[in-house]
Amino acid sequence: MKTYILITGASQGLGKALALECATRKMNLILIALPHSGLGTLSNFIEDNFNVEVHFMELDLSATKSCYEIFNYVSDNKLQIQYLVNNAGVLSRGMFNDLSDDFVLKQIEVNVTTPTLLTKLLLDNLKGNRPASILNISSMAGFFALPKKQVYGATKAYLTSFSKSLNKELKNDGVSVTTICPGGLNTTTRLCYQNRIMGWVTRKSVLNPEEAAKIAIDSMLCRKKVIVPGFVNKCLMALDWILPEAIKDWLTIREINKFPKPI
Amino acid sequence: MIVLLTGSTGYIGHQLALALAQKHIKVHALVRDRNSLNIPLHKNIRLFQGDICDYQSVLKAIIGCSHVIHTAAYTNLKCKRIDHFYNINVRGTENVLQASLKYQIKKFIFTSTLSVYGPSYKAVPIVETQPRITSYSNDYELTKSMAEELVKKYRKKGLSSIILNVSKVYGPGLSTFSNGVNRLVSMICKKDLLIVPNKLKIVSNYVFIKDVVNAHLLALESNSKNANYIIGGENVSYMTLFKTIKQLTNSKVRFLKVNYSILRNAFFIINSIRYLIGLSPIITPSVLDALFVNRPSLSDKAIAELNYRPTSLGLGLMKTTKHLNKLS
Repeated sequence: MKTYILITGASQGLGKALALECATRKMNLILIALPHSGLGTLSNFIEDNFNVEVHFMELDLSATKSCYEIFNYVSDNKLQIQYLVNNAGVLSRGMFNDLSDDFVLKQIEVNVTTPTLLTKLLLDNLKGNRPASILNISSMAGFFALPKKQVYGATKAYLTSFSKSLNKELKNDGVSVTTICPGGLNTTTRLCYQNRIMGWVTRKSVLNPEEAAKIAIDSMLCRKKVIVPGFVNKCLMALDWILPEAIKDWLTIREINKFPKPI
Repeated sequence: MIVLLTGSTGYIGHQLALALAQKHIKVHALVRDRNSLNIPLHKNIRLFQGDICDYQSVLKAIIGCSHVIHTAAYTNLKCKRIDHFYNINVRGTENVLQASLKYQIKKFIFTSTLSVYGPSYKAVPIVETQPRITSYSNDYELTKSMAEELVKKYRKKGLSSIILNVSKVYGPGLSTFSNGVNRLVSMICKKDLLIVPNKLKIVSNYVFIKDVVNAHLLALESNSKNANYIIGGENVSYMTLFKTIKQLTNSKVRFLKVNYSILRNAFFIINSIRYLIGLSPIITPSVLDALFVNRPSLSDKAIAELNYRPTSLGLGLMKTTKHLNKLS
């Protein structure tokens, strides 16, 4: 039976890399991203060159009704979902006080509400295609307290916690839940630039999306629980256990202050 | 029509300035050094002392212009400092864009590079709709992509523009970092033995300098706006390129193929030693990596929409070798 992997936020960054990685592995794709984000061009390119089937939907995932639209599209076309990748996310943008109310609500909507609701809506479909998997793209920021990443870090802590509990719940249904918590990724040009001017440890810890995507899909297929990709990131997690709070605070503030002012 | 031209002491800009001037188009050339030997001289070219990194100097040069061609860029891949690339390619471009918007420039032509599309997917030639598959492999690619994003951002503010994604340029002209093929021709002429990496099946696209200049003129005059065009020539492997140049120059050079990783490491060691004794690096591993990835491309869109007509590689290389022979 023909099955699909559904990936949200697939037009750029890690989502795009995940779509290309899955296409290389001959998985059929359902790609979701914002309108005017180049999703159609990407989908056509994949369909033309990778010999897989691609469906795509251009939707704004900060609106709850988008999740129901995805569910309806999947049901109407009788698409069998074997894998769900909740990748779409809104990154952090500055100090809490400077963020607009709208931005914060949108961030919570996309990072928390959407993956939760989408998982709920597609769960029966996934159960019908066991062994099935859910891959949730969280972040290392979910483990740490970071200035300028207050809401973002908290939404990712939610996603990690949600995934871990769900994984236990779904053990007998043949659906595994994998959470991947990347550190810095070279996704947008702006982030690539930021990552390149950081200190040595940060630069070494940054992964390219294509590397992270490969690790993520491998981990999902091996039904792992929580993954921090990259050797340096794993070391940082270990250091986190050892180092006293004061030193960690000093280090994070030093790195964060290197961020260039937006132009 | 009066055109503000940046980068007129560069490989492409120099010839473009003269080509515009010969077409009776007045050129405002923004130059850092009025005494540079690379300044294009013509009665239709007016020099403006300045720098794209200095917004006020751009404002002075743009007054009276209806069009802008922005060819200036920092291209030296050997440079390890990203701030050079960022200041010139990103901030510099933003200055020129801002001035263009302020003075209601009718069309902004941006000289970019094919490398913003990254490598091709397997052997599928790169076209304008190819998404980038891998991350930015060097600071030049990254900052040129950032500059393209800025050009697109200014489209939304009302500045019409065309981006030309130029492949590897060769042909008669100034000797700068941007014409490696010319250096290759000279090397094949002079040397008896050339050490080359064993990745000779890698395919790249080569475009003749006159075609690049012509593409800019076509972009300036066409009705097309707010589009990207790949400006390339023929797709050939290094093997074919080397053989063609060898034949054209009647060279007796022999090619010694060396394992790519060994060569890459050798360059790393040589450069480290040169660094210790205060010399600038020869080819760096990152330059080598940028050169040895597949980048075939198609210029069908430019051919159809701009009436672009590329020169064949054989003819282009013949003209190049003649020119280089004259020089030596």
